[in-house]
Amino acid sequence: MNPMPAPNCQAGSHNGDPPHPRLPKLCGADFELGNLVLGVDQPKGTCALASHLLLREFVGLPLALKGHSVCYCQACTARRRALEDGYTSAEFLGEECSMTKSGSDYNAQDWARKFLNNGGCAYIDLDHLELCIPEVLSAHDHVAASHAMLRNARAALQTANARLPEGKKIVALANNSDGQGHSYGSHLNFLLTRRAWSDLFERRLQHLLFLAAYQASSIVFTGQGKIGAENNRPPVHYQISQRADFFEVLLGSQTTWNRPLINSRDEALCGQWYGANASPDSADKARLHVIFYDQTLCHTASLLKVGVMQIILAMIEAGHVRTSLAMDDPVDAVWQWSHDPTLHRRARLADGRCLTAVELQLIFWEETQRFVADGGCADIVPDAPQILQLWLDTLCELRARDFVALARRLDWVLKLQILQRARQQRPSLNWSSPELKHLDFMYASLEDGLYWNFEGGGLVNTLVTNEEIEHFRNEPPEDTRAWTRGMLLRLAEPQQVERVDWDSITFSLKGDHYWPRESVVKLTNPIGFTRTASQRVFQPSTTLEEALAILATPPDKPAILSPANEAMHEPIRIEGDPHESTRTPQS
Amino acid sequence: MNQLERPNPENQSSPAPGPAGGPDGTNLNAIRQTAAGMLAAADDAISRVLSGDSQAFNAAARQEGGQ
Repeated sequence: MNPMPAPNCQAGSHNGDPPHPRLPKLCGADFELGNLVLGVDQPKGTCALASHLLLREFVGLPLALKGHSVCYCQACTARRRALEDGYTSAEFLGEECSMTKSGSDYNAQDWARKFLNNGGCAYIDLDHLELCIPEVLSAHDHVAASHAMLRNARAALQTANARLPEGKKIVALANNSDGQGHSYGSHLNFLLTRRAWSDLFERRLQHLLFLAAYQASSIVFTGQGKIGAENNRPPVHYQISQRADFFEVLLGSQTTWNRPLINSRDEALCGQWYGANASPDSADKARLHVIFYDQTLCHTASLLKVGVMQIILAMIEAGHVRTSLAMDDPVDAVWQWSHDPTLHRRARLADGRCLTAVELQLIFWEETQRFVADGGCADIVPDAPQILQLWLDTLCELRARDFVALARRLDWVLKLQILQRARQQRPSLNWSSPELKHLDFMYASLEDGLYWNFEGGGLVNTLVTNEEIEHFRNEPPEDTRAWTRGMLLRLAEPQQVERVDWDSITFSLKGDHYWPRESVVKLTNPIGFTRTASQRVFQPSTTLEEALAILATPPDKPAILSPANEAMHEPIRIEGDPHESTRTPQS
Repeated sequence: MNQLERPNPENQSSPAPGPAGGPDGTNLNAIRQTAAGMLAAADDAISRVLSGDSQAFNAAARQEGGQ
């Protein structure tokens, strides 16, 4: 590898700006499943039926549809009945609410959300069952929590199928494309400083282009692979990424059409960010909503997808951005690279160089390695050196096109080998055969997917244990606010939970008089409210009322209350030079 | 294998004894065994999946949009 010169520019160090604030690269993830019911024929397909029957089996809070105003249009009535009573043949289930414009609170992208004991949640998004893992700090925990949530969905699938009339069967797929022009997301959400967010989207275009170049070339290890092209891209037998064909612009806040490589939707999830009651957490923390990636099942692919992104974002946050890595047209490069599983195709950088995706990734690795060695990820990206090593090992195997070794690590390679084997076994099959596309889908089927067949046979490398995955099915991570969310939901009687969101929970308690009173816990700091910070609140004999007396925010007071609970609200904040970092106040 | 990675201890069979490895330190027997295991697993899975009605399954897999 060629030695690289120092970064072109470190914003903040050359122009008198104060040093960059840094935050741990906390990560959330939400993924929509492909879902359908075999043996049922409905005019608009069976997605709505499948997602409602699956969600019905999840135990979570608030109780089903609590807090929603009841709409009696045919579609909302059908949806409610599906959640309450189970299987239905109501053909209106997949329709939009006809009263939306006149006051119904039906939201097609967020319907009947339930938070679970593990701090994550499940809901229906555009007729897909959507699973959200709790916020985690490490890529390792992301892998465990993601597989845990898929196991929860598998359990729901099995129970739901057992209740169905004979001849009908729900199928759930952990993928991102139906092969018929529709894509659904597997999103990641990273915590970054408000300043880094502003640099990325409002001030420093080079940061955006750096991120776009990284993302575009990273599909070589994050793709799940699929047969065929979609969205009017040129035909191809097999491609690396399920999502690549659907990206049409560089930047935008939209997620369902004209999808952008980099999504600028600004939802801090750290309390209200406007008005007199704005949360201090929302003022200095932001969320990067990453809609770019495929659902990955191989542990190595999943860990690299999150872990390397954490490191890249730490670099952006530190202003450690190399402008010479900007691509001429990253949107075009994504599908061009995706359409070439031989890894030979080159794309042009803005400076005129033409590189393969692997070559560009190796340059990113060089840059990143120096940043990590200089302490740039200390305290904010767990296991950064190990992630770097795994990334390099994988890139070297990609450079050598060692597909036998890579099949143990990367979904798109494993799936391709399965499909190639099927073609060897049955020479009559070609890339247009429905049997091959069927196999493509079944790779990620929750019930009997080929991936799990290979994992169970010891044929893919694993990074987390079975015990760790099982733990996250019901237990929240201990090092984020998800822990306090999970504990509060356990402590409450189901009827007491009125509303739950990522950054607050509203309880309904017995009042002094006839009317109940509301109590709100604001969890605006995603890296606060950890087990260490909050466990004294949750002693075995603690009642919900006692816990809320410590945690809840009176409606007329700001979120940060008193020294007694300051630790639950105060972020781990590392200012300035990473070599001089200090942790307050939890260190 | 990277230090983060581990074989699946419950399921992975031990590599067969054999020469220490190729010129680059790779254990060829282990690679052959992995490849053979892949193919055997693939054969079972392929047979299972392809016993169904693929055309009907693919048509039913149609989704209505998403994020």
